[in-house]
Amino acid sequence: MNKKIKNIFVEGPITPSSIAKSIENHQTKSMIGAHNIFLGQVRADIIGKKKIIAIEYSAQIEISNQLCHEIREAAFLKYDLTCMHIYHSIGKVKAGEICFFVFVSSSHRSPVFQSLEKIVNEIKDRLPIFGKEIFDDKTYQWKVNN
Amino acid sequence: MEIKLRYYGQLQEATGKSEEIISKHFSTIGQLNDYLMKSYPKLENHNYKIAQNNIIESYNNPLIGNRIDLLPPFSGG
Repeated sequence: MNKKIKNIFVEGPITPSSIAKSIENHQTKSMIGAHNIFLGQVRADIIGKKKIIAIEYSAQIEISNQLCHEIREAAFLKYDLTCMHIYHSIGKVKAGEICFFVFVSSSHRSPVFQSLEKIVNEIKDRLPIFGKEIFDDKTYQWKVNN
Repeated sequence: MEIKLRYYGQLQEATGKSEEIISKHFSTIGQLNDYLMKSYPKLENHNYKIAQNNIIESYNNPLIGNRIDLLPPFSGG
């Protein structure tokens, strides 16, 4: 199973219309009985007196795509999934906009419930993606994942 | 040997650059890191991983690649 490595990165926010389009694209795949979707949204955290208005993402693109490919292939081996789509923003995403989209599908609900959280967590833990949190006074801090 | 170094995220601030090419020989990734810590003392305040030719490596591994990336803590999602 030597599939081509996909590029997960999307310039700027992931639009709700592109997410709707992705759902629509699966209507012809009539063996699918269950979808599960994770959407990461930029949060307007308040730190002291400052509010986060956007996150600017950068990444080591080649390593991120390679590791995501490994995560994807491992998930296909472990869970009975029909398809999987993963997208992450690069560049600036404003608070309230979507920066991360993971979409898994299967014949039945159990594999999509089991797999989605693990895939999302692995991507957050293993991919060299870096978030710069921009405040409303134009200062910034580097995002830290918990 | 020519090594292309790329710095990501906050490491661009610690080094004052996003990339550079150096002509030096190091036996291990760790030796290269010692050199970088001396060149850029601010790196000491940061955690980072080092990738060689797009693979994240441990400091004991031999330095054989010519593309090195310094990667600060990951914060995707």
